[in-house]
Amino acid sequence: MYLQIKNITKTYGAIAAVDNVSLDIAKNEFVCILGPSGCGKTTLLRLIAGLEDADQGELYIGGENLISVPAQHRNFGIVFQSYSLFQNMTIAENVGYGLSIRKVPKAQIHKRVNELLEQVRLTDQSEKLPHKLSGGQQQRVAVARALAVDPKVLLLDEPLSALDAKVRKTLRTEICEVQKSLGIPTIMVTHDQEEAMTMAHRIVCMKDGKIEQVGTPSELYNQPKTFFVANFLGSMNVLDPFLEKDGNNKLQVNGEHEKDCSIGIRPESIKIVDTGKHNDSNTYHGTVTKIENLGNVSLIQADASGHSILIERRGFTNFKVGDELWIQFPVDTIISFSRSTSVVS
Amino acid sequence: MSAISLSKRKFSIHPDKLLLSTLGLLVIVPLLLFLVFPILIVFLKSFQVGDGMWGLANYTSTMVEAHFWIVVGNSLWLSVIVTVISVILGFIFAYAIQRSQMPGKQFFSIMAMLPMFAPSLLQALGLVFLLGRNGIINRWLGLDIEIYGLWGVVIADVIYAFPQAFMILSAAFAVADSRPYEAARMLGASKRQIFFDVTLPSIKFGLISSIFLVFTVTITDFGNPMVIGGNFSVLATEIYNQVSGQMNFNLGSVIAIILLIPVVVAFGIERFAGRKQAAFIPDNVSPLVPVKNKMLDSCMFIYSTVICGLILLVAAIVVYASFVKLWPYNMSFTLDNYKFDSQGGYAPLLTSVIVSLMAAVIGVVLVFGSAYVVNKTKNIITDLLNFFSILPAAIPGMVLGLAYIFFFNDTSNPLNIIYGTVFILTINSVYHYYAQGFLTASTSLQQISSNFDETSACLGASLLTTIKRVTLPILLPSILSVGVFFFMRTMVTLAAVIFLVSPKVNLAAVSVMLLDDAGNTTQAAAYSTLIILVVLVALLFLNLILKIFKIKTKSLIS
Ligand SMILES: Nc1ncnc2c1ncn2[C@@H]1O[C@H](COP(=O)(O)OP(=O)(O)OP(=O)(O)O)[C@@H](O)[C@H]1O
Ligand SMILES: [Mg+2]
Repeated sequence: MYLQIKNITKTYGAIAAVDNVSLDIAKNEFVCILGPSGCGKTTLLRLIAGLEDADQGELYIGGENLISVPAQHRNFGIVFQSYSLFQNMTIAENVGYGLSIRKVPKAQIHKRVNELLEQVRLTDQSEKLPHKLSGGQQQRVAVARALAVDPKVLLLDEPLSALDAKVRKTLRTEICEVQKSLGIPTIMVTHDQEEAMTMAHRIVCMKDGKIEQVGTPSELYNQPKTFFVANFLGSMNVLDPFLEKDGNNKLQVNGEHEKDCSIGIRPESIKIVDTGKHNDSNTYHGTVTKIENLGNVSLIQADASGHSILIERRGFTNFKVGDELWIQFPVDTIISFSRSTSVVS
Repeated sequence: MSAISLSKRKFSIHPDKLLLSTLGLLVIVPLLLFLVFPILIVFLKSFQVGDGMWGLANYTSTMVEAHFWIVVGNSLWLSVIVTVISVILGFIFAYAIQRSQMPGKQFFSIMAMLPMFAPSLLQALGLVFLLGRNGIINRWLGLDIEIYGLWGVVIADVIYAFPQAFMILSAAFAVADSRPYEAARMLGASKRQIFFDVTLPSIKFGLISSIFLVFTVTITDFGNPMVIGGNFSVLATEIYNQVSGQMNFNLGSVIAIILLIPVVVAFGIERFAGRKQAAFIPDNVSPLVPVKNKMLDSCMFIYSTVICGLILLVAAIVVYASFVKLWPYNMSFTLDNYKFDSQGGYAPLLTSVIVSLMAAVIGVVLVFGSAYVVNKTKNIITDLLNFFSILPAAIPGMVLGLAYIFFFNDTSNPLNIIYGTVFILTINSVYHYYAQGFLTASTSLQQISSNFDETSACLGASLLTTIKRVTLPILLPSILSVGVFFFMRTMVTLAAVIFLVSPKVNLAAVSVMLLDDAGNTTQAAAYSTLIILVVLVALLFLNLILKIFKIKTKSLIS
């Protein structure tokens, strides 16, 4: 692997902000670090950037250990949530800043800056000062500035969080395209699961300074290892209570159920079936307790044998609070995950 | 381009860390030499009884005197009266500026600052011309008002302290979130209830902070009680009398230490409250826009006109008097008052300008250096540096001046060579006003997101490059305003330098006092006028620079 993080740890007083984290990233990979606020995402990114000194651990790039190299000499690009453009410099000067520090000849800087501004579609803004630009434009300049020095790694700390939904969507695609064309390892911090799912080749899900699970978006969604991961990416109904029921009401699962595992089902996998099918396996009677119509989908909260179940349906629903229904948990869609952290929600 | 040599990484000390420590050393050593040690000597001297003997004798002999307790009582009483009046006046004025829709708000807020551009004794001089025995009012109305004494000092100090109370309160009123006001209105609160339940609590700390600042400013003021106090003696003038009049240095230091007590207490409370008020600013405020209210707006307009009128009147009468042949007998126009025949003529003014320019440059370098180091690193040394940098705000000018005599007028001190030169005057002013400059520098450094430094570092810049190309350009407006602050204060300061001037090296503000002392009131007026002129020219010049280079500033006077 091109970028290797080995057992890196950073503590602030009693808090281990990053706790013995190891991670390997391939040369042209896009990795998203996802997790709740305060789980150590930013700290991990800053450790990689060299802006924070690690308590212990190693960081290898192409086989070379960079852990004791200061940020200035790592040649990594970084983009922050607050665009942090130098307000006293024009757009072109901002983008060319890193090159001018490297004493690259003026003409060459000019050429490279133009190239980059073209890439982020801001050529006509090059002589403006940053505050004249919109948030989305400023963030594109920040990306161009980070890329100008041909960084070995691109680091992004919630680059899209300060932007509105529309701009965020277009910038997502742009960042992905730029990353693809450059083929440099890119690590982006986010707490937006949709962003992580759509952009990343692999997602690193963090909790309390530790990595909870690493995998492709589909792995994390379809085979979450813990309830935390399952519930952080979408929602998860825990079905453990239904295992204990007697007779034909007992929940059927594929294979042997392991002792220290929980089982669950995603709201969109649950079926609502006709009364006639109530004898099918894994089918339970329920009463609607709450309805939420979101437009493209609707959420139905139902009470089945004393347990609250969340069901997701496409489009608007005609069910009303108090309606009776039969819900079915298709055997193939039941997911099994570690129980150890299943208390967290 | 990624070929930045990685061999550099095995530095035993990283060059950026070296730069920071060097900078730290460059600011902390002079702080020790020019502030901490001299102040410590004052403490020592107050316990010195005769040669090599130590004890509390100075204190006990001072405290048994009835006169001493009268002076303490005078100082406290004066400061309380002045505080109450200036804070009330400043409060209403700040309310008018920030919370009404009266016309001319910008003009009024500039006018209110006028007393800060002149030596504190300008107010006293103005009052003498207005209300003194030979003042206009007594002359024209045939009255016999006696201005010398407590009430004269009260009026002069109120005018002097008013702008400072106004500035703090205005800043407190300025950060207002409209939402609590709207919420209170929706809940049916009356205007009066809103004032007491929303407005007052939101500026509570600003109010406390202004009260203690005015108290400090008043109890340490020297110029006004000197000119208009008559027999009304306060601690600041008493130090001067003991030292300059009776050459009693040890008693002088006892009084200095005693003056230090209320000032340190008031300053501590002021800092605490000031920080609370700053922390009060919520994120994403939706700013309060005052609504038009005919009744309120007209009252506020009249009030502001009267206040600014009085301020202007006091200054204008001094300027007027400076062009008068023989006040009050022959009021015809003359320029004779500007032909200063004593006190070194124009030399002190020139010295003042030179000293002020040097103080501006040295002050800016030192306070920004300190603020940078304090903001960049956190350890015991920088905590100490932070403390020492704020300390001067709690040291009255008279005490600092006294400290400098003790420390530098000692031939066994190698630094003795600067005694009696312009350098000691410059350094004295720098450290007298260090705290305010440092706090402004600190605030503006804190407003620069650390992301700038980090981005710059990731792009390969060393700390020095980042400072040169990113930090300094962003700081430029506040650097300029701190420079102007040092210049202005040094031009008008009297208390600290009064002990350090000599007939050869004299300063303008001291000249004003000496001319007035010698009975040359109109020449004193002329000299004051020149000081105001220099300060205004400096301000205009700065504005011009800002305009030419299109630099935006928030506040010129820190
Ligand atoms: N400079 C610091 N000093 C002390 N504690 C810190 C510091 N920086 C981070 N922490 C602590 O380390 C933990 C992880 O912080 P971090 O900023 O990495 O979280 P995050 O995952 O980026 O959160 P967010 O999503 O809110 O940005 C938090 O508990 C935080 O309080
Ligand atoms: Mg973060």
